[in-house]
Amino acid sequence: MTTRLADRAAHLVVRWVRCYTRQLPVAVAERRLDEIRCDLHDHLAYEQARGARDGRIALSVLSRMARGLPADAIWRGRIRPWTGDIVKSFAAVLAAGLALAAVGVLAILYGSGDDSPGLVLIGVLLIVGAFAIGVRTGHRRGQGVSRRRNAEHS
Amino acid sequence: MPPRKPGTLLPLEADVLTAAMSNHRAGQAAFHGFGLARMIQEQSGARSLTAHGTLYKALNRLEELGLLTSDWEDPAGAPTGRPRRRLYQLTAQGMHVADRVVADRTAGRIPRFAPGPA
Repeated sequence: MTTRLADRAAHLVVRWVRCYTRQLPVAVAERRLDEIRCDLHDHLAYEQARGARDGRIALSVLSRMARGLPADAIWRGRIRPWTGDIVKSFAAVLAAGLALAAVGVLAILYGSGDDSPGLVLIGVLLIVGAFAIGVRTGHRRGQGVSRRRNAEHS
Repeated sequence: MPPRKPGTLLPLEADVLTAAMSNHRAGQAAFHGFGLARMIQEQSGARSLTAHGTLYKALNRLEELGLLTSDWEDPAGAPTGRPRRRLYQLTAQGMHVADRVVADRTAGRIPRFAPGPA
């Protein structure tokens, strides 16, 4: 039986896929979504069959999503460059940063519980990475707003 | 990340080709995303599975290079409740390159999909 945390993690991954495939050709977006859905199904079934705990499965799913975020963004940008208003882009990056931070917190929790210093370290690095993404995005957003204001005034 | 040298394969792309070749030699020509992630994990001895974005981006690129081909699984062949899988296979060129990847790695060279500069 699929458990709650793992299901939520898989749902979050599907939402992320919907986010980065938005405005792509329908066939391309559907193919990526269907492939990830199937991958998630196989992943959950595999972990449950080997008796992994719910939290461990969720962490594994979220970790695969978080580690693939840069590749997702590059793939998306190659098919169709990111466009749209800056607020939407900011929201997407913010969501990615929050997801990274969430995976980091989970890694610290499970790393502490299992006495795995490596996992705790990964968690700390993820949270630091999420913070860096937040600072960089905020800085770039500020620059974008300034540029737009300057363009409107000139 | 440093730019990729023309004609070369990234380590993950080389891993995909060697895993696909092992699968092919074991009598299973077709493979799917999660199965491939498991194969790569077993071959490399890694603790974690390849990330979604990295894996499917690599599969896309290898398909664009003509080294893999893919198609959706026949829905009639999928068990009830499981989404249909995208099944990948090595092309003839892909098999040739996979063999070369093994030779390149054995010789300590960067794996290539196209001949290097003379």
